[in-house]
Amino acid sequence: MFDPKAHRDQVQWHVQKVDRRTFMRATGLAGAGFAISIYACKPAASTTQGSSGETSGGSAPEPAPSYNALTTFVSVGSDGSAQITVTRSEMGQGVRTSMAMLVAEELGVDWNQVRVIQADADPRYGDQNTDGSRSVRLLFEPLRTAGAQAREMLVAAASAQWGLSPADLTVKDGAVHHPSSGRSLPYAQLVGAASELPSPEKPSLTSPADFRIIGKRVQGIDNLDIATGKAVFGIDAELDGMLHASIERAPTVGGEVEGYDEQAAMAVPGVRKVVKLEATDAALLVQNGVAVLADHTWAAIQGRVALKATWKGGDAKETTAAYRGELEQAVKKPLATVRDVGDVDKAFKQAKDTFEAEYSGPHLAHAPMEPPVALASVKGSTAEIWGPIQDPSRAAGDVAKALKIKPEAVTVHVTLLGGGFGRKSQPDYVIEAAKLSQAVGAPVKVTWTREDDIRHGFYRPENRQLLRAAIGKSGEVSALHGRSLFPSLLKVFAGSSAKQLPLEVGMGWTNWPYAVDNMRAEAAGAETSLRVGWWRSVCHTFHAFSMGSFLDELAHKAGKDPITHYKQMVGAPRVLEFAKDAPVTNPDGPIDTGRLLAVVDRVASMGLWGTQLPKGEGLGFAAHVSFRSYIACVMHVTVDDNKRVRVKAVDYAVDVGRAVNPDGIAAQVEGGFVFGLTAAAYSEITVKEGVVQESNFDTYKMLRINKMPKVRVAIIESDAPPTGIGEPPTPPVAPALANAIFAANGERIRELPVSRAGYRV
Amino acid sequence: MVTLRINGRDVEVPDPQMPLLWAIRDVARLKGTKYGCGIAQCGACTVHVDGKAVRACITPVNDALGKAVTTIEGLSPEGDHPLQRAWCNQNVPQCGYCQAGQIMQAAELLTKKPKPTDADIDAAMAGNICRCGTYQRIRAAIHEAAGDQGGQ
Repeated sequence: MFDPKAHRDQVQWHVQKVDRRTFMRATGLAGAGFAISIYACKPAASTTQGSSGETSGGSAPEPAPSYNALTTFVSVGSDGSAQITVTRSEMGQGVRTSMAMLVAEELGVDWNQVRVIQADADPRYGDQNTDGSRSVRLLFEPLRTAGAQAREMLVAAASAQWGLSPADLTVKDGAVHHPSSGRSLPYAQLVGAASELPSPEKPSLTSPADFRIIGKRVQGIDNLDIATGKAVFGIDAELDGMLHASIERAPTVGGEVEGYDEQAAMAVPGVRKVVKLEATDAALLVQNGVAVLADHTWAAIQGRVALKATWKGGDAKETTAAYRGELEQAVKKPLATVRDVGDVDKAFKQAKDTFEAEYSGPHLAHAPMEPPVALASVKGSTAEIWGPIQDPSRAAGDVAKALKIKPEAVTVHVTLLGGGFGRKSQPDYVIEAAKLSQAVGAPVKVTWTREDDIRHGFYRPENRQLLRAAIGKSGEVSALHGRSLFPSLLKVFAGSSAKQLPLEVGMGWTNWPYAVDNMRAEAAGAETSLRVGWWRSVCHTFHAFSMGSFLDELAHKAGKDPITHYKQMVGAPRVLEFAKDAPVTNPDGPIDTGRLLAVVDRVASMGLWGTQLPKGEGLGFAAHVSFRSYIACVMHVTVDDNKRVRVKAVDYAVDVGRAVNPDGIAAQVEGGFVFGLTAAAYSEITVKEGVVQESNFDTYKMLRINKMPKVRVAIIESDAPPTGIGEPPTPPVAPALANAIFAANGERIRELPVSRAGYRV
Repeated sequence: MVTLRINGRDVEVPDPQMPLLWAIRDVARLKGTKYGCGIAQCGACTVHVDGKAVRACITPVNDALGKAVTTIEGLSPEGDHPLQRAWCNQNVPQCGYCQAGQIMQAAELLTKKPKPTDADIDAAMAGNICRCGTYQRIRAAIHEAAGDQGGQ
């Protein structure tokens, strides 16, 4: 007989509570904004097995080494391995690998010696929110510094032992070497003494010319665990005595329970409890619902069906067709001016010609492969959470608020995320699990079904842009005028989408990088019945689509090659700060048009652009700057007479500053392309009286392998500070697709997805 | 109670109508097999029943009684199936959630077609969704595991 307990011991290692004494030490890290602390680890399995997911660089479980901590982020094990604490959430963007690379480079260990431990939510780590494609950008210096501090402590320990000057010592592959005598000491033998030494405030950093890990191809830190089924995602978390919950939620946001059949649910074998879950906060993070708690997921799902719950009220205002009509009317009237350069009205009056077009995109769901899921154990006034969570600190705070306990009484362990894309920034599912655990006095895991995920998302909002151009006497674009209308993300926090955040209009709207004398950007929020949220690259997706399409339309109207025209629009290499003419904070920072032009030139020379194609085939170009990264893309499509589209090949050129993990960057480009093409080809959340109509992958389709073209990625060599890559590859995809279809058959698509115009990718 | 045989071990399951997926995950507590859609649209739950790749989310335990169920944990004792090695070498995984299902599907393909073409791969793997978009690398890894440089 198979013994589930034996197996549980294997799968449950990650939920063991770390028992470590923490000694805070107030040695500030100059300029980095966080304190270095030193803690002593108990040399036992309970400490080395991490709180929520230690993973070795490759091997199967083996006797656990004991670790000595050198800094907050670095411990060295009795086996010579380096244990690196990663404070950002892994959702497929490769952050556990890239963060570890930064530390390992400076520490002087071989990549095979690296282990990663996932940090719990803890204020001493500073901001752990994982979004905005900024982990490598913000932590490039601090993590290298942490690695260098640990290295200098190890060198100092060797120096003391040998009585030699640190200047005569080198490090490599996890050992300190004295080249002139040929002696060496492995870190494992030095770490005990080193951990007693002071941490240097300003350690010397390795010169980029000497990098052995940064900029090189490495294997992803979690590859083997993933390939063997050992990797632990939120859905895999378990505790003894845990109940599995499935929740029927109000179909409209703010809807209330009218009735349900508790007895029928309780009659399902394995069902233990039925709990009414109440929405508590103004922003409707948690919706009204009825939860069925059971011995296993299947019983919970069946019990939920048996509830036959009925609902009343909620926000039923929105129905897609009418809603689109409202946006279409609203965008024809002036909105709030968010950037104004020159004299746009005068330029239009004096124009030789004008051109105007409108573009729109639908609500979009994130649909990560792992749906929202969380495990909570609430005992009295403390709560412990395990889950796939992008922003663990926010989750801890929101759980505390919902349970009316102190934030510091909430422990959040971050598992691997089975995809995030912004969805797992919202902690609604975490709060649900915590409230249910509090209600029943036992650990509860809430697992969303795919239908729950598609119907109760925080959607990339439906949106519409109007763009106008004035053409001057010599054919140049003398004025550019745009209006962008979209429900604001502010709804997540304030319950209304009517007022936009400067951050949102700063994404591809107030920062047009064009050499046009007269430019005016207008924008306004719009109410929606749905909850909205940030979705891979946020507002850049729709701003890149509208502007990327509009510029292509202008090029064709002028009879110019689209890339030649685009480069003329960008103008001379210069750095645009936007501070003077855009009265908003620009989250993306300045734009260096020289770097933008360079990726455009690079992509144009990769092979696709400029090829002569037969009828029914076309090339589409688009470029966009987001999260400080410069991305240009060329797409080759075939379109037949029945509007069947095949994307044959894609070239990408990207400038992300210094490429820390080149193969990871290529992977993000490939994946960001698929994400963008999926949306442009198929994705559309439609609404009927406030109720989302799509529900699973049969109605909310995903791109599949048989549609995958060859994607080539050129990474611009650069020693500029590293920038983001998780999001930037996505925005250029939709405009490149629409531009390619136009090149193939002359039909201009201004509404996404392209399936609305009958195209089948 | 019925008895399922998973990776060579017997597991008692309370309800023969329970989908194999939840029996594997919640009863046998083998977590490598993943839930993705529940309606055989994504392939995250792919396991082998008598060597054939099936969607565990729509397969009742009843249908697997008396047969050998193999999950990702049972694919190779040492975790060194050629596909697993190739998945690591090619840096296929991003988030990794769908990859056990992808590998199980690919393993069936290689038993049927040891040297698959890109078209073979696309046909066999089109039922498996990867939201991260690792498809290009999945193709490359299957070719690598098949021992060829493959493609086109």
